[in-house]
Amino acid sequence: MGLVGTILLVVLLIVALGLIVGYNTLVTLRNRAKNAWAQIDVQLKRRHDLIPNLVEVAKKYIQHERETLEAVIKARSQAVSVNADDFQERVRAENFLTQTLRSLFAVVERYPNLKADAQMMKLHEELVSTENKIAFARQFYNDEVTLYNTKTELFPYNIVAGMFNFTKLPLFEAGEEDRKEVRVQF
Amino acid sequence: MRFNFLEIKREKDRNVFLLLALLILSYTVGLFLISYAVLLVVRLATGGEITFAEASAWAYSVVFKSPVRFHLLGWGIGIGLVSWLIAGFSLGRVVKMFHAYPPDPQDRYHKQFVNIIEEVKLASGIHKIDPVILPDSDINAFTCQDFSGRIVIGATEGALARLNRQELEAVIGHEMGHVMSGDVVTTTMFSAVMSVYAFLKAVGWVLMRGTRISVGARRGSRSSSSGPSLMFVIGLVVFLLSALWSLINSLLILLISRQREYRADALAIKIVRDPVSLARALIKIKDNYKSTKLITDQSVGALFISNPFTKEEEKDSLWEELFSTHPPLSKRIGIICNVAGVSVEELRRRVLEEQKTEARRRTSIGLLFLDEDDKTAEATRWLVFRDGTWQGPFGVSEMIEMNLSPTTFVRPEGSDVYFLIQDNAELFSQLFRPRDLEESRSEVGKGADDRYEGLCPRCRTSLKKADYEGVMIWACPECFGCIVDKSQLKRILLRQEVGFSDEIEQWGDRLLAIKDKGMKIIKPEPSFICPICGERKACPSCKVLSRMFKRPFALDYPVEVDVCGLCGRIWFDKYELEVLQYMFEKRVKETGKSPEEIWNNMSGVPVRWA
Repeated sequence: MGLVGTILLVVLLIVALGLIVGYNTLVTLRNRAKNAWAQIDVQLKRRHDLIPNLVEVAKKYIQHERETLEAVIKARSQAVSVNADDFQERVRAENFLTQTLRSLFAVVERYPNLKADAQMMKLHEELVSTENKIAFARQFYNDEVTLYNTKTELFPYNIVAGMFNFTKLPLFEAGEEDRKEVRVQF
Repeated sequence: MRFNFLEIKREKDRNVFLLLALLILSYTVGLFLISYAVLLVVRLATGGEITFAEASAWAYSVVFKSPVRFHLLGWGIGIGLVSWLIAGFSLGRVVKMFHAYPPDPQDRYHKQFVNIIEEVKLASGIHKIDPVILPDSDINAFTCQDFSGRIVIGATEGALARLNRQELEAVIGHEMGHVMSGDVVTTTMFSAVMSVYAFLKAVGWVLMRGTRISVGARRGSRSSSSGPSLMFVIGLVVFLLSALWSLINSLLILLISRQREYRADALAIKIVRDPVSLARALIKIKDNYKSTKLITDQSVGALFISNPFTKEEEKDSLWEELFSTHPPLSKRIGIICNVAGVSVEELRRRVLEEQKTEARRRTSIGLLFLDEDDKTAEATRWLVFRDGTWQGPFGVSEMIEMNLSPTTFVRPEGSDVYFLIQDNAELFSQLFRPRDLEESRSEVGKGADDRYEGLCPRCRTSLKKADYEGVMIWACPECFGCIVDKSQLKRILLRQEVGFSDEIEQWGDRLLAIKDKGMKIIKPEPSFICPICGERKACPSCKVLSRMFKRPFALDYPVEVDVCGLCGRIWFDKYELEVLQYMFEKRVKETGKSPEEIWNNMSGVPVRWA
């Protein structure tokens, strides 16, 4: 084995090492992004659980403007039944649910008795908190995904990404109305 | 000029870093200087005919040129690190010192605080945080961290009662800012630096005192005639120099501390993106400021959002600022308003107006009965991966008893996304709550007993859970009487949710006019069996202790109540709680004292409450 052979061996070793490091970095980042998604998922689930109770309490007090309540129920069942693998569709359904909820809380403002209901106060607090958590978790998820997506485009990593099929992850975009304010303020 | 909060943060980061380096430099330079001075004195005293310059050159060469300098450096840093470690593991002590207790899950205000902490956890990605509550009535919040990585964020009852949701969130964001920039760790470093110098000061003092006593004892012997002894001079030098240096160090520390407050404000805006609410919270703190006596240790002042020690109204003089852990509130408010692009005057006017026309619920009865089938408290149920299969679903309390490890896979019911327990902050903190916080719950903030089924002592109907300004108490749905314990009553008195009808105001005013004659108007006499502890804990033969006594609540609050001799809980008949609350609030308003002081100065409250 001559000089050429040694150089070839060293180059091969460096390439192999690069592949291992690159692969591990990408896997770590992808898992972090997936974990961030799990955080959102828990909160979305919690919101689905809370809404039936909210509707139940609100029904007792809201006589007119029933259509707002029905819109919330419809939006919820849409969000629950949507195919969990279709990311974009799911995001769209959840954003729509956020919108209808916001209009429901605007209606609640007009019913002082409903606002002062003990049950309603607890539910209101829980829902506001869940909405905030979704917003914060979304921020966190998008940060992680951006980090991962950028890595898959950078030079040595894009080769590894191409070889092992690391596809880009989608961002959780806020709904049209959400773009201005990050937090919900009921 | 208008700053971006990120620019502010960057500038303060740089300042804090430079100042910290300066502090470490000052710490070591001080040690060298003191040893140099000691050697100089020794040389001058023992060297006989030696000039000052020669002695100084000798001392200089010993301290700075010989291997002594490495010893000094090594020992200095070593001792500093050890006392840093000691300071860093005293979290439990600090929390105990504030009489902090964990939030009561049945309390609406406490629940909101817990929710906000959860939100901020998600926003910052930092998971190990325990919320605690201080019984204080001031508006304040603090954070604390030990080297095991456990973080505690606390808010006072006053803050929970008087800040709205967004304001409280901004304040917690500020505390989170301290955590994220590692301020809590450097605070313990400060106390380490200070304690090393305090130790040196003490050594100097002992040397001085010790020799003077011995000189006095041997009065008339030969050493007393030859002026002060060598030990005395060494002691004096060490004492004076270390005193001077600890002053210099503490000024540096205070300077750093003030820079960190600005930085935490900037980070709070970064986390919650709501500068207006932060400014509003600070305005409320500034306007409602009353010094309280709950916290007595000066060294922990820097942990709070606003300095808990300022005596009266803050003065904006340079001198005051130099010796303060926090920059003046008005300065902070100015900077934040600048970031938000609103004028300070306009914002203050709005806050004051809102406080006047506080949106109270205009009902004369604060009791809100809760439905029996209360589903809101029901949290997500979880499937747990154990022994190779998915089991469950389980509630959180069941999971606590299962003794799961943090590396168990779980997924919420109805979802197929699974993860480790340790990766979900909310679940993790519910399952692995530190034990010492649980213990302090047994003393304060017990709240209402969940499993209790008692009868109203007046109408013998069963009592129901009710919400009174966020506090969960037991009340009678027929006669609207209710039973309250001490920690609950304080919370109720601090909160201002209920509006009072004209009748209650008249009633309260009439009682307020009666001065210190409560016992004459209402003769204490035994009334009925305590509905909470009566049937369970009474002496089986006489039942004397479990009997309630009719009496005025306090001499200066002659509201007729019934107090249990055993558990100290108080039975309020319809409207009595509202009247007491009205009287309390009116007294706070009229005297201009802090609610804490009014609460502590009630005269002749029941024995169990004093």
